[in-house]
Amino acid sequence: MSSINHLYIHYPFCSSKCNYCGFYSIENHELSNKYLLALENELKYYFNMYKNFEIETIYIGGGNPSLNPENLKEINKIINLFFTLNSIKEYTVECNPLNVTKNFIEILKEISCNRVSLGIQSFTEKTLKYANRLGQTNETVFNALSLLNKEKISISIDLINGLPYADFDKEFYYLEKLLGEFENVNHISLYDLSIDKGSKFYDYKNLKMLSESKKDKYEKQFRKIIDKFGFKRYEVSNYCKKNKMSLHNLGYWKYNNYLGLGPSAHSTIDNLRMENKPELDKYILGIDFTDKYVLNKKQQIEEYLLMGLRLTEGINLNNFFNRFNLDFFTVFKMSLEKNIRLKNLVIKNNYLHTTNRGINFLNSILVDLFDDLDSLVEYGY
Amino acid sequence: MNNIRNFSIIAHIDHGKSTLADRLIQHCNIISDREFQDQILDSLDIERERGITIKSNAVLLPYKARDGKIYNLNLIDTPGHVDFTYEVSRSLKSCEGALLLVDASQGVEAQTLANLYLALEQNLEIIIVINKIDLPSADIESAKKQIEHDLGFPKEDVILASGKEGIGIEDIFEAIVKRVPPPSGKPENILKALIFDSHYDEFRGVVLHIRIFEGEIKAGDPILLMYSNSAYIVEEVGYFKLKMEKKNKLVAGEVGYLIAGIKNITDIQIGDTVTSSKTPAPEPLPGFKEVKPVVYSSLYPVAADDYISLTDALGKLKLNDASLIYSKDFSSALGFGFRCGFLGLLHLEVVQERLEREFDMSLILTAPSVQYKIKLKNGTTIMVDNPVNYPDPLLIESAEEPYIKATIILPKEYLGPIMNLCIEKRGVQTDLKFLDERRVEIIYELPLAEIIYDFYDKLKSLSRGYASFDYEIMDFKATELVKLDILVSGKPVDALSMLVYKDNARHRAKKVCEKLREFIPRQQFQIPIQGAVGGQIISRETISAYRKDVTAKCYGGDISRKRKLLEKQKEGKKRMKMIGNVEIPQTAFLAVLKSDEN
Ligand SMILES: Nc1nc2c(ncn2[C@@H]2O[C@H](COP(=O)(O)OP(=O)(O)O)[C@@H](O)[C@H]2O)c(=O)[nH]1
Ligand SMILES: C[S@@+](CC[C@H](N)C(=O)[O-])C[C@H]1O[C@@H](n2cnc3c(N)ncnc32)[C@H](O)[C@@H]1O
Ligand code: SF4
Ligand SMILES: [Mg+2]
Repeated sequence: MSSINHLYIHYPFCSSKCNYCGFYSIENHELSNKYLLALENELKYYFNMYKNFEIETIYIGGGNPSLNPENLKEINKIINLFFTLNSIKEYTVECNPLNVTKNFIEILKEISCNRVSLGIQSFTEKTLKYANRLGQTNETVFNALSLLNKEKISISIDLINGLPYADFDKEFYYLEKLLGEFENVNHISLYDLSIDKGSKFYDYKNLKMLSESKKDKYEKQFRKIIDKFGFKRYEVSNYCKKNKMSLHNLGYWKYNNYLGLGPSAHSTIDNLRMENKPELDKYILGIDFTDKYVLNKKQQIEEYLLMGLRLTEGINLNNFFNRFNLDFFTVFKMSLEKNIRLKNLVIKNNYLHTTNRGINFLNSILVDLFDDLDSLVEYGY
Repeated sequence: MNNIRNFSIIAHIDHGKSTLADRLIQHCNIISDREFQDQILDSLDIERERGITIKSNAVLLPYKARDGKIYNLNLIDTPGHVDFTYEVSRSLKSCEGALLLVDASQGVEAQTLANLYLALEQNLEIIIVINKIDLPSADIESAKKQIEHDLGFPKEDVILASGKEGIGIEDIFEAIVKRVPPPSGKPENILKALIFDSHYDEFRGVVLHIRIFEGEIKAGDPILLMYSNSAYIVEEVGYFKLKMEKKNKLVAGEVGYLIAGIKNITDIQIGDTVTSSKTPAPEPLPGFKEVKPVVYSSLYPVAADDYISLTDALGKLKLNDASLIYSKDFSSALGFGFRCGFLGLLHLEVVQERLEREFDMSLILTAPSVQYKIKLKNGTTIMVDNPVNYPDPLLIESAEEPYIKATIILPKEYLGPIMNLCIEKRGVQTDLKFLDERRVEIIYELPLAEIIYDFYDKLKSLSRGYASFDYEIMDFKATELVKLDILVSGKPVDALSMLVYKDNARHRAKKVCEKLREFIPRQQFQIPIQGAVGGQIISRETISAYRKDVTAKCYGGDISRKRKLLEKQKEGKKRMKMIGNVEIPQTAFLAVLKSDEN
């Protein structure tokens, strides 16, 4: 049994729902107090069940945990009921630019949060409007950043490539300006827009889309700018300055144990998968809100690969052998040969990783690898 | 015996056979209202969905006549589409009479005539019914005129009916009882029964559909199937009364089913005669004319390891579809499969759909082809229906293709467009006559290959559904043939090759390449798609590479969702065929078979 080092807390409230967003959150905050009570109960339950907590990273995400600073304090209190936070290396809170005020920053300091993930998404007004990100302007974004940048808080920003009406001149003007002005911005997540179930965009009949070639152009320009500021890609959608990787997310990608609390949060603890339903009502009642199942070996291997290969460093083949007691080269002979030939994968210093080309086709690579795994299972291993 | 009547309902497609059959069935109360559903004899899913009859179906109706006696009427509903003429002619062999329906608003159409001729060949008593008289557009007088003029029947004998409204039902029953002769065989004679159909029942095994012409048959009887020379013991006989209903015995004149523990499907030959193995009949019944396939196509299972299941499925389907013909085939692109012969494109579609629905197969089909006659320079002549077997053009002296004689009946206002269509399809007109002031009958000789492509769809759309069409196969005529190859990423895909008329090659190549571009998803590499004749590229399309295939965000530890997504993608890949590095979905193979210019 390995230790549990990562704690995620899902705060399921937002002031208004963005049209692209399919994450679980609701706009009505009336139940936030009951949510906090349920959260405490849930943490207590796991605290009693597992003895192997050594929490190193905390991530409070959502929804919008910056929405109500008092609730953020409450969440922190609940965490402190069970854990002493001396050994915490990274404590991240997701923030919306509008909510980052002086007072809010005081609270961040009070709870000893040392990292924020700021959702910017776009610098184009029309895009933000189409996405229903109410109230956000480049002024509010820059205000928030300058307040944060004065403190010793690491800043990560979220951007989305592919949102309708994005004006690239604006996007990159402000990106460059921001990176020049705020040196604590040391981490960027750049996601391609996905049309997720549960989002408004998903139900749009005539959703405006950015063409593939435009998205390509965006990515190229993006790279050019962040290069100048010393950012490197270290994961499919994540870029950072030296040594500024997200430790919390690395936990997922390296397929470590993690505990996720709150509606819609998931946990993996020693091959047990727990999935909270995206239903606040059930969560508050405390009954029937988690699906649990044990991951079989095939599923574990699949997940290990699909997470690990997202990192540009790839997966360590010794680790693979130690964890699954299987020889990688024997199991994945066919798919390795194919994808090495296609220049999608390389093996170097006992690491298997994607190439600059391959990282864009990770899903097809994984499907090839899974195919090999299937035949292994078929032949009765 | 005197109380038995065996009859079919025949008509042009959509003139209301299945609906009228419903009313006849309901009149005899053999099914409760609760269990009843419209078009009840159309029991295949595909029949119900498309609203057409594909299979003939028998049902026994006990009818209490006005003379107070109960008659056992065997009703056989039949399909109307040209492809299934064979199915109709087999059904007629078990009958002494036929109801010929004529739609009161449409009048006599091409299959009305064709089916009438089939019935006359069998010397059946014909009862003519003008149907759908409830329609506001019904024109009974003109229908009567056409019956007299086109069919040569006195209009006084015509019965007026509406299957929908239940009008004229008793008149029809009475005419059957009075006019259709009872069957003539004798129970005490040596057993002679005709196998006119069969099907595979999951629980009971092979079920034979038989008409007893002479003698009788009951459980325990030793029987001989004369053509296949195989002997069995009868396990059960009975009637079709929507469900199979067990009986002690079947006697001369009756129609019913026979179960005899038949394991070897290849013993069953539709048209074979069942006799007693103790005292066999000296001669079998005349049986059926062998049907010749009109189009050929190869079937491959999407998953190579489904080949065995496909073999089994074809065997069982063949029991219920005597006109299906198949033999082993191999493609370097698609592996093992079967070369099949069909009676037409609808038949091909029906076979494909039945294999997929009833036997859960997932299939790839190759472009349908007619059979060509090819004369080689060395003096020999070969028949080729599969592009794979097309000889080196240098060895070919000349080629011939099959022609049909097409009879088209249409309102005169569509004459122009339809004649243009026929010319475009390389047709030669041999006759044109006005049936009355409004309707014209034209006769064309057309290459069969043009008909199986998209002729029927175009005919229907150009005439807004008013042109009706029937055809018979003629002989071969000289043609200029080329083999069109399709290259995907520079590799020829044998399963996509087709034999085409030389002047059509460029057009077809373009269409096929466009279809493939539409249906092959983008992949990691740019995919050139080319059409080529004899190494010369005549059309080209390119599928550009996709930008990415990777899930952008992976947030909050929701790993299972990603795993499931990939599982799905993996399942999708299983439905693809790998041609070199290119994954081609089943839908792409099927799409090139269709032309949708309309
Ligand atoms: N108005 C009217 N419509 C009918 C009548 N009989 C059949 N139909 C319709 O005509 C179409 C074809 O009928 P169907 O029984 O399937 O014809 P089949 O192809 O000859 O078996 C269907 O839409 C029926 O509802 C009728 O007597 N009156
Ligand atoms: C759970 S959200 C919370 C962010 C925060 N509440 C905010 O709005 O600023 C985390 C990030 O996921 C990204 N995201 C959400 N929906 C997305 C979509 N449909 N496609 C791509 N990225 C998306 C956005 O960049 C967002 O900042
Ligand atoms: S993007 Fe952030 S603010 Fe917008 S709906 Fe999603 S969680 Fe809420
Ligand atoms: Mg019908």
